[in-house]
Amino acid sequence: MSEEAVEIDKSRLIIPGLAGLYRHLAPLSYAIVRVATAILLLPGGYEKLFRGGVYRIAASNIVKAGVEPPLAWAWAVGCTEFFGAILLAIGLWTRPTAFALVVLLSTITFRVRWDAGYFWKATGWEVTLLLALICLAYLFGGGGRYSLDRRIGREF
Amino acid sequence: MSAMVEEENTLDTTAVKPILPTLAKLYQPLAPYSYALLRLSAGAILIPHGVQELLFRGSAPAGRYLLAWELKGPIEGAWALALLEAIGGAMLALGLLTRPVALLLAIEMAWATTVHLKFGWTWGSAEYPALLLTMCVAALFHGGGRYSLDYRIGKEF
Repeated sequence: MSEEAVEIDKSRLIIPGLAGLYRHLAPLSYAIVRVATAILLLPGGYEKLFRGGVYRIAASNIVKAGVEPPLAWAWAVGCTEFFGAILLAIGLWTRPTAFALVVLLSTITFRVRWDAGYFWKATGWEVTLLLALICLAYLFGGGGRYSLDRRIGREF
Repeated sequence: MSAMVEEENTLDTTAVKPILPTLAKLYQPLAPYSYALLRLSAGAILIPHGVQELLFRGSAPAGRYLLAWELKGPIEGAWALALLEAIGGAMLALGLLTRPVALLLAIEMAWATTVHLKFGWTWGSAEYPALLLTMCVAALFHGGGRYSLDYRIGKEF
């Protein structure tokens, strides 16, 4: 059972009249965060695959992360971000996608961004940590009600 | 308390079949916590912002940005936002008064998104407050959920 499919219990609400509204809105919450996360990841992946970003990170962040060979990993990172974002947005193969993104984003958090400190304005690690935690939540819960996985009826 | 109501979940009749049942045994016990993890993450990630503003005013980058960009006049506004991020972030993380707190934080994040749009979308600009805005709206829609103080208390907005 996925938490996003929560039942709104009227007797627990301080303003019971809002129950009807909440019943319509609550199932959306799990899906909108999935889509927003994908929208955040997509430009980064696009830049890496189609705007030469793989060569940029192969010479900098990949070296910092300490994996060999740099260019192969740079393409892997670009593909994970770009195709991972698309799959996450539509909710197809949500769990494997989320797993790949958790690995990627936690590596960036601890190996690449850690020295910059916490705060996002100084390219700190809070952004990638938050994204990693979000992807972890989708690794737990899967695509949910509004996903292709649910439409297809089978999922990892 | 009404655990029965939540467990008799009508939506779960459409639940999907696992492709790898062995793998499903690993994640199925974790699935109920997925929304709680989203709520916890969004709230907890905001706490250092507020704490930094309250304790290390002037010395930290975020404090300077906040004042320099928008809040040139009312210093009280900066204090209110700092309190909202520190205390509201903690309340969202714990799921206490989830919907009212999420509404306030969503308003703040909407404002922050518009402020940062001047500097673009990617690379440490509007994308991040926009993501937090979405998460606060999600908490506003959903409420505390099964694993929250609101649920423990048995009453929520």
